[in-house]
Amino acid sequence: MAGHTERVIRFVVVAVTILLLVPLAAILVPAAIAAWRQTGAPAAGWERLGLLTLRSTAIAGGAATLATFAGAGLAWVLAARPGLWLRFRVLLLLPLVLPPYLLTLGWVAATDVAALRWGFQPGLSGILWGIAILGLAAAPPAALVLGTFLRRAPVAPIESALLSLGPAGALRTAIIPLWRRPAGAIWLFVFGQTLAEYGVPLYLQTPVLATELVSAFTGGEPAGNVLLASWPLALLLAGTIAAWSSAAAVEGVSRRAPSQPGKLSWLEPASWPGAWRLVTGIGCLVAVVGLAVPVVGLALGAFRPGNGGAGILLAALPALRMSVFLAAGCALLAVIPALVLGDLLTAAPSRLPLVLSALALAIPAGCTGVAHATFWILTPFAGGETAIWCGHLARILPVAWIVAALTRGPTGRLPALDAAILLPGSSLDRFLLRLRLELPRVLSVAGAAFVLSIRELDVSLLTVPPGGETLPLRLFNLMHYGAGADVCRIGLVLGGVLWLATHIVAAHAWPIRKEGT
Amino acid sequence: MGVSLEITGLARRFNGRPIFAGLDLRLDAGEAAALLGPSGCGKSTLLRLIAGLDEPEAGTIRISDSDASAPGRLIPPWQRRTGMLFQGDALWPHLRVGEQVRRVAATASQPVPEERLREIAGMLGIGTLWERYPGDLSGGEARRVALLRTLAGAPDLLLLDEPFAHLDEELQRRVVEVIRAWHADTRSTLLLVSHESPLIVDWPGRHIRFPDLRLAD
Repeated sequence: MAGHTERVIRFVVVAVTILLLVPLAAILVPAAIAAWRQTGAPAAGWERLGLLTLRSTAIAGGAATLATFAGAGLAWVLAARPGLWLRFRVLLLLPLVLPPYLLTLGWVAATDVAALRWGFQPGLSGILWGIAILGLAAAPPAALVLGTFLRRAPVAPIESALLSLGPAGALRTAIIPLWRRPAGAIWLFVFGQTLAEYGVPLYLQTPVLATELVSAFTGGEPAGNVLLASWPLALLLAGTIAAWSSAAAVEGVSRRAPSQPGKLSWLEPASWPGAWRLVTGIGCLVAVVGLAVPVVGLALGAFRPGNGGAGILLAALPALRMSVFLAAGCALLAVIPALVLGDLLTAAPSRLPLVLSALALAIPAGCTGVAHATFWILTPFAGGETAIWCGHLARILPVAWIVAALTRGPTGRLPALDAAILLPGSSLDRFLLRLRLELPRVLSVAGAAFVLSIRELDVSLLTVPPGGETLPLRLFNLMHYGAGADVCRIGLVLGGVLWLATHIVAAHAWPIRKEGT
Repeated sequence: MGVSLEITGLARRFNGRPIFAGLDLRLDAGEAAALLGPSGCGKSTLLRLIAGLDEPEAGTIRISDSDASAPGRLIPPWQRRTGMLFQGDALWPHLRVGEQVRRVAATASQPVPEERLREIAGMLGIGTLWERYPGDLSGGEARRVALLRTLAGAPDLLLLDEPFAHLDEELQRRVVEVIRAWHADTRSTLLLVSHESPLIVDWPGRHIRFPDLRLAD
């Protein structure tokens, strides 16, 4: 199935299931049994729970709406200018990989600049800042997905609508129906991811369900009780992700129809109704300004005179080395399971693998961190860095195999690859040919795994052993002292590594080809 | 009522390779012509250029004695009063057949009554498909629904790209009958593009062979 032997598939599925579920189950099940036996326990803290749920939902809903609105505007404006998209693809990919805590640091630095120049300092805390930072961080992925749908959509229905109904009719009849489902799926995805995010709310001093989970664990609460208490978050996330996977599955089925990509000359901006141009223009502006401000803020902050000089940067070198080592190792370890599971996901005729993938995505980072930090101590692998390696892998694998599935092509098949598998000759020849054909995809998956791992904060915060430190962790700890020049420089170093990795992947997996007229 | 179409010195390239150059064609108002040629010779590209969905690199397209496509001037597709049957059926996947037809019919300058459209649907053998979605149609049914939807817009210039694709001989004959009856009723200008086929031999209008239009390539 999907070009892999049964033995390989079975091994990968079992190994990934163990990695994702065994630590969680080993901590959660005994705690659940103990709680079940402890009858008559008071249901304390309902009021606080309700408040936290409300705040979490408000931030996640606001961020998802902002991301979808700004992403749609950005996608529309860029779709009308494919040359711009290609030329600035690395620049466009960069905000895609910048983690929210780095954007938060950029916002803090930008507000510092505003305070120095104009004496105006907005306090960075509260629900609205949470919505703005997390929503804008998710706008580029939303733009990427919606732009891909627009560029890969069969052109004929849109052109026929344009020809017979005009621009306003084409919007109602072809464009909006085309975008409705992916926009819904994006909204749900961002909603789910934002619910699980705790780094930014923690920094903004805005307690939500995810921050409570981590605070309880670091405050000394037993891991099993912490995981049990996370049920409202798990319930919200599971519901959201189940809805997302259902929307994505329906979309996947309809995308399997034969498509006829063509030239998008009809996307000439002046053709479309004024209200549409205004709304998409505002969305695009919000996305561009909302991402430019923290990036510029970070750069300006980094070039201010600092207190610690080169000392702080040098002190961050071991953390950088550990992050790069961890990310490269995770990318190497993740690439084969991700490719196998990605192939399995696209080859399967049922929705089940997609729903299971979505549920794997729904495990909150905090829960993964708590489970791995506690579980490995109980095993012969206690001590060392087992927890951080396994925690990172558990965190990045679901995303990596979804990237592998998405890069397998719009119809879920690679004809050239299928031909390579059937080629007569030695297995080495077939392996080498397959490797050559799959290289862009392997690079995409490995690049995604590397980037996700090197920026990972949530799991690092809980699993890094005493004496160890990753770059995001060092940065996050320093951020509590403000956005000084040295902190901004460390942020810039992390941003630089992310940019380099993205650039290498984009150059190989997404090369610029000359376009004919 | 049909409009005249005059094409002079038209040129278009794809990936640097010329598809055609110096192409001339003239259709009188109300004329029905069949344009024939092998696959890949640029027939569909020519229809897209006439509809305004693509821009020529050189030459002019005049519709009803005004420049629709000329250097520095391009009338948008929706202002050309043109209807086009696309090679891919171009049906809107989320709308039922009846809704697709009604939506296009509502834009016609001289709306065609729904009874007449249902009558044509019956002639095409798709009268019972009014409530179906495109995903539930076979290739041949989708082709005929797309033709009906194109006719519902009552265009002055009707462009038909391979209207007989996916149809058996009997259905091809019915489609020819419907197109001829429609043309006799409306006197709209009609340009039909197809491979050489036995049915086209009986086409009453002018037969144009694509290579004859290509002055240079």
